[in-house]
Amino acid sequence: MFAHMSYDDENVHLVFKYNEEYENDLEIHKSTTIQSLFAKQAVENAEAVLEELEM
Amino acid sequence: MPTNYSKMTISMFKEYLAYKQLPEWLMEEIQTGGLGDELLREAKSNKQGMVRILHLIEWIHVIQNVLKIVKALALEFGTVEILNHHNSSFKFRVLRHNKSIGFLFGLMETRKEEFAVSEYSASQTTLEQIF
Repeated sequence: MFAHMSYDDENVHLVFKYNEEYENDLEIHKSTTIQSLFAKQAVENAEAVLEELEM
Repeated sequence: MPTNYSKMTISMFKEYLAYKQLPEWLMEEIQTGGLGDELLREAKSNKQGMVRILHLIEWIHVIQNVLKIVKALALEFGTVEILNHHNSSFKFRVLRHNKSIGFLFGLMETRKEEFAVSEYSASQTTLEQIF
C-alpha cells in the first residue's frame, strides 16, 4: 500500500491506498485461499468453478 | 440444481467468520456505513442476497490489515478515528500529541512491513485537505 501522513499542530491524517504491489499480493492471496478452500472441500468441478470465478 | 460455489449470502459469511473465530466486530461492520457496507450493497443488488466469495476473501484480508494498522496507531496515539474508506483506500485521524515529524516517519519505517506499506510520504495538511 501507499501511505501518506499529513499533519498540523493538533492532528495527523493517515491515508492508506492500494498500489500495484498490494493489488498483486491480494490477487495471490485470493487465489491461494480459494484453491485451499476447494482442496479441503474436494470439489470435483474445481476447474469449472475457478473458471467461473475468473469471469 | 447446480450449486453456486462462487457466491454466498451475508448470513452464511457471518457463520463462516464465527467458525473461524474472527473478531465479532468484523460482523458488526457489515452494515450500512460500516467497513463492510460495500459487501452489503453487493448483497442488496441481487434478489438472492449473494456476494462473490472472492470479494469476501478480499474484504477479510484487507480488514485484517486495517485492524493491524488501527491497533498500532491506537497504541501510539490513543483514539483512532476512521474518517472514510472506499474500495481501495482508508483514511484515519489521530491526535498528534506533540509527536515530531521524525516520530511519524520512524513509526512508518518500523511498521511498514506489518502494515503492508511499500511507499510512504508526509506533508503538512493543506487547506484543501481540511475543507
